[in-house]
Amino acid sequence: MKIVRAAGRLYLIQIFAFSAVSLSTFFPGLDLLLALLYIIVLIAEGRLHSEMTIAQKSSVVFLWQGPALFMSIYVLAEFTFANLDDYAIFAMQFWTAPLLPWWSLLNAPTSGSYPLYYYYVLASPLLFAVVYLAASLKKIR
Amino acid sequence: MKQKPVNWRSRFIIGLFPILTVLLLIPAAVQNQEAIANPEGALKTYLHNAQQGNIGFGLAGFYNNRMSFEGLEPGDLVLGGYPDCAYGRFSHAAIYLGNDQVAEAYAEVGVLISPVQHFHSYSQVCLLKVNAAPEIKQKAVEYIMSKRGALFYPIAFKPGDRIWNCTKIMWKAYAVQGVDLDSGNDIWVTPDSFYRSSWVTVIREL
Repeated sequence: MKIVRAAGRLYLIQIFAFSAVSLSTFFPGLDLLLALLYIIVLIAEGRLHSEMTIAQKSSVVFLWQGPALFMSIYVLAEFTFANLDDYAIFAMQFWTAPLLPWWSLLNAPTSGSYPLYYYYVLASPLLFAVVYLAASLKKIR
Repeated sequence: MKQKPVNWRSRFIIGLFPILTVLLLIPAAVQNQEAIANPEGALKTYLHNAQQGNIGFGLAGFYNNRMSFEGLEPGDLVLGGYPDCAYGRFSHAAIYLGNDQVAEAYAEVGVLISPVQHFHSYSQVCLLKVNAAPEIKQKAVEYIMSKRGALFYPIAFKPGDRIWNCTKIMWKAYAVQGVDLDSGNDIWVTPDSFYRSSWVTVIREL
C-alpha cells in the first residue's frame, strides 16, 4: 500500500506538472521557471520517501516510470504492434513536458536525423528515476 | 485516541502543480475568450470532434491522391489531412521550397526537407498560394530553415519563439514580416486557419 501510494503521488505530480508547464508556455519564460520547480518538487518528494527501503523505492520507480520506459523502447525499437507507433512519441512528449522547456534553449540539431531534444524525451524515464532515487538517499552522518 | 499530525510539507508538494494549473488557466482563458467561444476555433473544433471519439490527427495511411503540385512557388503552403482528424479538415502543413521540395516539421524530427510528393499519402490535400511579395515568401522560407533543431511540441501556443509545431512555425515565419496567416486569431494556429486566411488563394484541392 505504501508503494502504491508513493507511486500514485508521483503520478499526480507528473500529470499536473504536465498541465501547468504546458499552460505556462503561453507566458514565455515562466515555463523555464516551472521546469525548475518540477525538479525541486521531485527532489522534495524523494526526501519524503527517504525512509523506504531500496526495494520499495525501486518498486515505486517501476510503477511510476515503467510505462514510459516501455513507450521509449517501443519508439526506439520502431515497434508497430497495437498501432501505437503514430502516437507514441506524442505520449512521450506529454509525459516529459515538465522539463521540455529547458530543451527549447538548445536549438541543436545532431549529426543524426533527430534533434537533441528527441534523445532527452526517450531518456527521460531514466532521468526522472535517477533524480528521485538520488534525492531519496538517506543522509550520511 | 492519538491523532496523526498533518504533514504540511507533503500536502504542499502534492498541491502545488494543481494550484499552478488553475492559476495559469484563468489568465490564459481570459485573454482568449473570443478564440475559445469561436465555433470554428481550434478548441471548440477539437472538443466537438473528441466527443465523436476522434482525438488525434486521424486515420493515417497511404491514400494515393492524384494531386498535381504544379503552380507552387517557394513560400506557398501545402496542407494535408486524414479522415477523422480532431482539429479540422487538415492535420499538417508544409512550406514549398522549389524543385519539388517542402520544409515541414514533426514532433520527433523537428524541421526537415522532404519531397512534396509525400503529400500523395493524405486523403485530402490543398495547395495554397500566399499572396505576398516574393522576397517576403523567401524570407519566410529562410526563417523556417533557421529553426532546425528547435523544440517541437504538439500543443505549442502562439506566444514565444522557443517551442513550435508544424503550423506555428509557418505562421510566425510570415507574422514577423507583417503577414498574419491566422484567420481566426486563435490560441493555436491550425492548418484550417491557413485555409481560411485572406492572405491565401487556393491553387488546387482534393
